[in-house]
Amino acid sequence: MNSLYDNRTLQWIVYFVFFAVLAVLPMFIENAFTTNLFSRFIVLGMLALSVSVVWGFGGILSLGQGIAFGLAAYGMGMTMQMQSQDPVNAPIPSFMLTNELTELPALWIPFWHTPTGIALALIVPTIFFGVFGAMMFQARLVGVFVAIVTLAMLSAWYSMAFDMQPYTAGFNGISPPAPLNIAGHAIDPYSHEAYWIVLAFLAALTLGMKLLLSTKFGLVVQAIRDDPERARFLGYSVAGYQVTIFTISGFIAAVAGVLWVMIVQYVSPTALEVQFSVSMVIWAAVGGRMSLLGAIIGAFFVNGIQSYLGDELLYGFLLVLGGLFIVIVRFLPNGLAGLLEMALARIGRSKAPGPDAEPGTPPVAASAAPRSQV
Amino acid sequence: MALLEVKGLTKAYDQLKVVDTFDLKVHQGELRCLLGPNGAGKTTTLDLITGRQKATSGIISLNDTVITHWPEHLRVRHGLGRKFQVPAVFKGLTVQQNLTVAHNRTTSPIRNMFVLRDGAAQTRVRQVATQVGLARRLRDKAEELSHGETQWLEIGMVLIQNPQVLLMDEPTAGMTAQETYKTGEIFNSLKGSHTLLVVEHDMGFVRQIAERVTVMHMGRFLAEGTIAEIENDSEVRRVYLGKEGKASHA
Repeated sequence: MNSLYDNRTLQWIVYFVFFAVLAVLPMFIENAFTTNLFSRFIVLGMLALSVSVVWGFGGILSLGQGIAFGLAAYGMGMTMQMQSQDPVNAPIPSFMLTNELTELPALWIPFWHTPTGIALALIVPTIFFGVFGAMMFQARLVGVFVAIVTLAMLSAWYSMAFDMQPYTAGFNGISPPAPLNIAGHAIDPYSHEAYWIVLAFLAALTLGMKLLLSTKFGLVVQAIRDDPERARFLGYSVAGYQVTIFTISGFIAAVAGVLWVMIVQYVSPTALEVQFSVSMVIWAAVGGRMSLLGAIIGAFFVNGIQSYLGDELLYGFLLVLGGLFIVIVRFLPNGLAGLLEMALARIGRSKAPGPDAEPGTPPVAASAAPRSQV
Repeated sequence: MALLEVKGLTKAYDQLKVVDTFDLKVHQGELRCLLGPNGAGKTTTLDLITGRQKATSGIISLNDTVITHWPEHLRVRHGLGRKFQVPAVFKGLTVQQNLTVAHNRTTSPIRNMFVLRDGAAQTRVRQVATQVGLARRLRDKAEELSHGETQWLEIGMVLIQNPQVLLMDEPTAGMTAQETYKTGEIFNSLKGSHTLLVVEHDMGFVRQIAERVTVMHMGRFLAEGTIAEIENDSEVRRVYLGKEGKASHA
């Protein structure tokens, strides 16, 4: 029986109110550091969104979302670094000189041109996810095997970023000395402008995903999550849908990677660390993986606590995070959004008409609605 | 000319042949029952026809097209529809959503990204839901359905595809007598307009629906005929019903 939680009009209202509140939030923040911190939370929310799309709706537990994030972050880092280089007097970043490179590697040359650099930062990880996904899903990998393979791939990229010091600056990472400059306009990472830019991207991606998941495509993706074999025996190419949703989630993580470097002016192999990608899964689980908004709120919630407690507990916070994950998995498998769903279902039941009431004729959009989206 | 034809179909695991040079012809509009004791190879035969398992040898053709080596989803697109022995529905989706997914006019991921409202599909969804007795449960999640209703939902999901041949693997398994009878009525309403191959154990149900019956034993063809002929076939009675057995329930 549908409850208020499944009311699509209400869902869209909640989404718009949520983003409207976030949009006016900087008006009440005077501290630039806090504004930047909130911008970071928004980018992390974008990563949780990507996990919700691929895991919550697609049923694919990817522990490799950091691959798209990291590759895009490196692409953006390279782009911003080259903006600070002088083609004549300083054509090579200083870390390359200390690594005894005498000329700019071919890999770096496209990043002289900012639009090309940003485009590559988005396209390369997205294509990689498409190819990597095709390799996994054509082979009908499922469940824990997908988690293992994505984790292994993530570790491989981490090692590569770490070891290829002349090209990636290794452990030190790339620290572009100046903010991103678009057509002569520098975007201050600590400004309200930067905050609104990342928020605009989060809103566009979230609403876009909500719309996409309301289509027949979204419905089939969720059907495949429930029973891939049944979907295959309805004539659907299960691998085709899985590759598509996996690639879309990779694109979202890539956008997050680009924006992350825009607001922190730094990228290092930590972006490709296993712990970071596992954290994304925890954020989505805490908020509710089968709810786009829930996953985003989960990222805000966990990272908010971390920024508050992290200073006190340092690495001890990982114990808090792990404990939280165990509690959520045990008692709230659908996260905070699931809690809300249960509460609204209870309200709905108390107001529900009798069993003889006409079921009505729900619109197609309702029929195509994902089970959980608020 | 048979709509579905199987020639010399064999499935072997090392030396063990679970389906052994099996032949079958199902004609347009026919409702054929496939009988046999446990382990006779009935479900494996359906698996081979639908591509769930790969045949060791033999030929499967649908509407004069050889589909022996096609992947499952292409066989379905070519006109096969299958109901599984253990009901397979999308439990997290509503009845309406299950039927909407099964209404597979477009299967391409990209094209389906642009399908937000499909009035024709919803009309068909309501027709089929009425046909299988689930019109009042369209908004309920599949996980809330009883076992019998889940079976009907899956039958509806196969029907809405409008396949050339419907393969039904024990469609009444776990149903009450009343639900079984109602399922029989649904199947009888499909006679002539649909082609069905039904694997079933319940002889009462088989009597209710069957026109012709094929019997398998140890993976091989044993007998074929009307239900009366099969029930009176001495070889069938020996291997399946028991020499002195009554043909009431296998």
